[in-house]
Amino acid sequence: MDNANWQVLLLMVVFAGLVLWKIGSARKGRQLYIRPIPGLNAIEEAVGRSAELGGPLLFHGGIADFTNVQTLAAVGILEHICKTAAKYGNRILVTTAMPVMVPIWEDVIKASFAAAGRPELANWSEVRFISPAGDLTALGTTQLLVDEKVSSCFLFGAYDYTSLLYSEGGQIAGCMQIAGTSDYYQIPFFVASCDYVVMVEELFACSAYLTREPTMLGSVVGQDLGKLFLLLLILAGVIGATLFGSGNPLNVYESLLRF
Amino acid sequence: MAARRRFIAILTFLAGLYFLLEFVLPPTVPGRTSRGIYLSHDPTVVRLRTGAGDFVDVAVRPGVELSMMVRDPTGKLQAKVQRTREVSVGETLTARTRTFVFGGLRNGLVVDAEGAVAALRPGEQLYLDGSEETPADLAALPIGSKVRVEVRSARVAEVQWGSVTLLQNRERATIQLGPHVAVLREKRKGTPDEIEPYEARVGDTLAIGHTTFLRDQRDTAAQFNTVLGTLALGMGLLSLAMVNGRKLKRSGEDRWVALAFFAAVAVGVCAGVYKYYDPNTTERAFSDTIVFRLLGPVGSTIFSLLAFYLASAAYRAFRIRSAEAALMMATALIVMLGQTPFGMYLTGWLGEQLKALWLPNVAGWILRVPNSAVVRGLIFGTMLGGIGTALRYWLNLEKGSAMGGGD
Repeated sequence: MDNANWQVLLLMVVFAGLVLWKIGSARKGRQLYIRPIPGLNAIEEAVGRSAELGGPLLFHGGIADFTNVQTLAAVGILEHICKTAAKYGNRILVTTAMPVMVPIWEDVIKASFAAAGRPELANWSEVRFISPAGDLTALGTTQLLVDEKVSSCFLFGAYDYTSLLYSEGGQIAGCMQIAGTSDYYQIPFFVASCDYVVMVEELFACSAYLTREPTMLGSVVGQDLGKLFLLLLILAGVIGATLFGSGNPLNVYESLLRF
Repeated sequence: MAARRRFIAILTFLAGLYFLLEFVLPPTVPGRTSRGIYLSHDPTVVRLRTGAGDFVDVAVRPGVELSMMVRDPTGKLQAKVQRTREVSVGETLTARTRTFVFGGLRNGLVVDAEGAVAALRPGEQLYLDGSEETPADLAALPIGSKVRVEVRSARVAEVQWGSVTLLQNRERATIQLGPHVAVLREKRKGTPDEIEPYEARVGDTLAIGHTTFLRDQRDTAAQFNTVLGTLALGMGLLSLAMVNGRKLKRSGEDRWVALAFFAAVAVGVCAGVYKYYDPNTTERAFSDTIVFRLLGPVGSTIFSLLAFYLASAAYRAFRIRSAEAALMMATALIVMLGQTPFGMYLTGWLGEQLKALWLPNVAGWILRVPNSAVVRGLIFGTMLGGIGTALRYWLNLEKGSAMGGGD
C-alpha cells in the first residue's frame, strides 16, 4: 500500500510548508532571486534563429500525459515559446505520442498566441499525433524536422530510451536544440546531442523563471530551501553515524529515519 | 474565460485534496483495526451461480483467482483480478478454481498427472493454459498439458466471509473478514502490503481493519483517466487523418505518403479485428503476419538505430573542447576500461598493496561514490521540484494556459 507513514508525512509538511512560506513572502512584495538558467535564456535565441532561417519551430512535450508533473512543466514552456514566437511570427509544430495531449497542446498554442496578440499564428501551427509507439513517434518527428526544414527544436518533458532518437535526429537535421527533463538517465544523451539542457528541478522552475510571477518564484525559492533542509539532514546523519555508529540505539537520528 | 478558469481550479483542488487525503490517511480506520500475530484463518467462500443455474462454492485459497472482465482504454475486454474484499453479491465474476497437469480420463473422470481424480463440478470447465477462448476438448487434450479449471461469467449469489485468528496480548482473537475489510502485512521497513488472508505466514504481524472510503474509491477515480484516454485516441486519429487529408488535397509526392497512411490504417483495423478470429483461419494468419512479421521487425529496426545514434553522440561528447569535456572523457575512459578485463591487465602489475588503484576498483569507486552522490542530488531535486509544481497547480498559483487559458 502506498500510504504515508509519519516520517513521510513530516517531510511532506516541512517541504510544502517551506514552499508556501516563500510564496507568502513573495506575495508580500519581497524581492526573490533565482539563478540564471542558460537553457531558458537561449529560447529567444532559438526562436530568433528560426525566424532568420524561415523554418518553423518544433516542440515535443515528452512521452507522458498530463498526469506526469514533467508534462505540466512542459506546458508552461510551450506557452512561453509561443509568446516568443508571436514576436517573430514563427509557426510551431508539436508532435506527440499521447492522443490525450493533442487537445491540450492545441489549447495552449491557441491561448498563448491569442494572449500575445497573434491568434492567426495558431492556425498556421500544428499539433501532430504520430503514433502511440514512442520509437515510431521519435522517427516520425525526425522525418518532420527534415521535411519541414525545422531550424529550432525544443524537447521538454518526460523521456525514456527514445530521448536519443529525438535529439540525435535533430542534430542530424542541423537544428538548434534545447532539451529539458528530470529523467536523469536521459540527461547524458541530451547533453551529448543538444545545445542547451535544462536539468531536473530546473525543468520545474521553468514557468516561474520565464513568467517572473512572484508567487511562482516564491515556490522555486521554497524548493531550494527544501534542498538546504535535506543537506542539513544528511549532514546530521553523517555526524550521527560517525559519533554513535550504525545500529547504536543512541543514534536516534537513524531510528527516526528508518522507513 | 474566468468561469472556465475557476471551474478548472476548483476541480483540480478537489481532485488533489482527494489524492492527498488518500495518501496521508492510514489505509484502514484506526479505531476499527486489529493488530496481532497471524496464527490461522478460515477461508472466505464465494457461492457462484452460473448461467445454467448451477451453484459452485469457491473457497478462496492459494491458486484461486477471482476476476472481473473490464474494458481497457482501447476498448478490449481484459480480466481484472479482484481482491476477495472487493467481491459483492450480484456482480459477475470469473473464478479460476485450480490448475493442474492433465493426466487423461479414467472412467470418464478427469485425472491429474499423479493419477488423482480432479473431477469437475457442474459449472466448472477446463481450459488449456494459454488459450482464453473456448473450453478444452477433453477427448483431444494431450496428456501432460497444463490446464486450469474455471467458472466463467457467474453471478455471485452469496459470500460466506472467513476469519483470521491472531495472537493479541498472548490471547487468541478471531477477526471476522468482510466487505471492505483489508488485511495488511506489516514490514520491518516501509508501508505495509495488502495481502489475501491465505498469503499470511504464521508469525507475520497483521493489521486487519475496515478500509477508508477514500481507499476504496481510488480505482474509480483512476478510471477517469482511462475514460479520457479512450476519448483522446479518437482525437489523435482524427488529427492524423486531418494532416494526411490535407496532403491528399495537395498535389505532389506527399499525396502518396497520405495514401499510404490511409491504406495502413485500413490494414491495421483489419489486423486488429482479425486478431480475435480462430488461430487456424486465414484472417488470423493475416493479423499475425502484420503484427509479428511486419510491425515487430520494424520496431526492432528502429530500436537498433539507437546503437548508431549512441556512437555519433558519444563521439561528439568525448571531443576534448573544454576542461569539463576532458574530465568527462578521462572519467568515461576509466569506467569503460574498468568494466573490461583489459583494465585489470593494464593495472594488475601494481600489486596487492596498491590494489585501490586497479582500474576496476577505481571505476567501481567512481560509480559507487561520486556518481551515486550526484544521482541522489538529482533525485532530491526531482522530488522537491515535483512537490513545488504540484502545489502550484493544486493551489491554482500556476498562471498558464493549462489552468484555463491566458494570463
